[in-house]
Amino acid sequence: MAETGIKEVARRAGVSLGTVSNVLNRPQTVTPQTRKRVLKAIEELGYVRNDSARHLRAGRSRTVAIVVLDVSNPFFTDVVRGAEEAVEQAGGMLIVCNSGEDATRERRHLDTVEEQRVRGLLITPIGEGHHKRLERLVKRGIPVVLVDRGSGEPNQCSVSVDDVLGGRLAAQHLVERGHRRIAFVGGPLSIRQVADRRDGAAAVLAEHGRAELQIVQTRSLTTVAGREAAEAICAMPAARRPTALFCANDLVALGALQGLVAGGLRVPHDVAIVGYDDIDFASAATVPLTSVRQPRELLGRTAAQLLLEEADDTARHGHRHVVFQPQLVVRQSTAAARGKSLTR
Amino acid sequence: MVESTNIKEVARLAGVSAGTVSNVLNHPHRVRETTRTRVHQAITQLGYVRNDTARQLRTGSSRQIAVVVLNVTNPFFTDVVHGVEIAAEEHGVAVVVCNSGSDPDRERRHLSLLEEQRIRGVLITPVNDEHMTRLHQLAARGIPVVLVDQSAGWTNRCSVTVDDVQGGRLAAQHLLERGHRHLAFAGGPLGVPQVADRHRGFTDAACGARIAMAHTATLSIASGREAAAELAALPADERPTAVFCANDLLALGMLQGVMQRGLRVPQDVAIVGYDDIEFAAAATVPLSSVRQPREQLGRTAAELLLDEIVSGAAHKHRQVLFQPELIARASTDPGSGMVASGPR
Repeated sequence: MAETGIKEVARRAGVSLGTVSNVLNRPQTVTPQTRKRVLKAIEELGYVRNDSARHLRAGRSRTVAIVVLDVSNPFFTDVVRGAEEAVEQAGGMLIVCNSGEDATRERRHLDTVEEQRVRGLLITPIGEGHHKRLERLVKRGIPVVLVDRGSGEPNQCSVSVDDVLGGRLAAQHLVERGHRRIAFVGGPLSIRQVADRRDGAAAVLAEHGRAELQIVQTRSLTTVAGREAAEAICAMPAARRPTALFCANDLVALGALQGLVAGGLRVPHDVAIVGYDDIDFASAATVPLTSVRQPRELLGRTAAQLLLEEADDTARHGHRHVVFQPQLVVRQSTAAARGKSLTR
Repeated sequence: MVESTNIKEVARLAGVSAGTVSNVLNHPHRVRETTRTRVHQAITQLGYVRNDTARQLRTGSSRQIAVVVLNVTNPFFTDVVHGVEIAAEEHGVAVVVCNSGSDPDRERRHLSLLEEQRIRGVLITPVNDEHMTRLHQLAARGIPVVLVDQSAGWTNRCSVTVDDVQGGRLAAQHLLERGHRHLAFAGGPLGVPQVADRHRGFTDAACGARIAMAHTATLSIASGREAAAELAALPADERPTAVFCANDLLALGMLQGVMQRGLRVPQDVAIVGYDDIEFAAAATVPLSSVRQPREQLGRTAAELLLDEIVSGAAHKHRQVLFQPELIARASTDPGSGMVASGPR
């Protein structure tokens, strides 16, 4: 593979290698005429600075990486949009890595970003297991900010949304609408956000002396998982079937909605649904979804800003844990049924 | 900068030369097993990570391929990415996603960074034909490029596309069969080849019908809502009875927009989208849409790319063309209109 090297540029411009290097790295030290000659040679030869070589010296790149749990979930692509904005304002570029909730893939991505010496890493980790791995990245000079995940870690910034409160808002709303049999649909519970949302909802039911929160566990947080859960719910005898579902995210809620309707149940008349995230598609659903809104782009933007601050001045940077508050958006999927008591 | 463990420390701890450590990493068969074990022990103890940047300088490649997409928040592209990941996983190759956001300047910056990082190969849906020369250059420099969902100006290399002209035709034929004679096309910018092709197929097949044109600035839900406002503002006898939207995001925005203004879908306005993303079937009124084989598009493109990476000169370039398929749902079905018009 023949590549234009710095030597050819020097030869073409009739200058030394050092001068070409100066033009690239310290242009102010070179006279304008020489600079122009070198830049012209670069253009003519199609020379591309080899960033790998530069990294070895400078130890950092312009690339920021974000590792998300599921790139096909609009929640995460909205977070990506927010992060992208902040990174690009600072003159960098964001690359997106999808762990797909798979530990092996997460590890492979972490290996790659470490080897590439990215400027910094934004990550929503799969479980709690990789703290050591992330700590090692930090020790090697790659700052890490946790996204959508609170952290007690003193040496790491985090940006999260209060998921326990989100769970509380959802359950409170359903209790106010008179529901007594409420089920939480989501999983795996090893994902902290999922467990927190469930805990918040369970606490509200306990405070109101209501029946315990039923749990319908799913393997993942996708529309397919939501449809499967709905099939199980449709198969329950009506007397035991929950009258309301609180789904761990909007994809599960949208799948559940489709599954319930396909199974002959009406939403919200037979079963009400609350989702989580308030992605764009929640309001566009067959029955517009009530959902717990997260400030998705703001989450990404804030995380990226903290990361860049740390990357620019590691010594002076003070770690922060930013926690946003979620907000309930009420739509038709929990509308009170007219002329029908929900307090059965 | 934090110091990282380097090859010298590994050599010192293992009591061998730096060259031997390098051999263990790169040509293990040249090293005696006892020495190999000793070096591996030292590596584990010190937590040494091979500096891939240095390795890339020698071997000229990483174990990573990139997908450059037009809009990471469009589920069409994340489905394509999913297909890419399935193929890459089989080869143990990591996938990074870069979002051009339909901005040629961002596309250029991503391509530069990818080249500087010596990415193994690039899958790209280009914003327009502005960077075709740049892509040919990349390929000539040993970074294979496969075009996804577009092939104009790329005749001698690999591409994977769907016949968009045919897709536009299918939409027009469907609406004509349903008795519509006053149609509209919503989409833009027409500089996007996919949009231009869909528009061309649509107008070709709908000759004889009246066709209004609703130019949109982007292919997003928000643009769909704006186009709906224009459409709804027309007097009923001048309003098209059916709209073909250049993608499903536009169609979902169109659906929300016209319904908010009191129009019924499909009785007052029928809607056909494009892509058949998962959310199309889950919409307020389930959307008729021209389906693209999204995952298969990504998987096929990645397989071609990986073959080119692995086979080198033996690789044969291929241009794969898939056929789209019309999926008819309630948004164009007069019979289901009463059911879908709202809550009863």
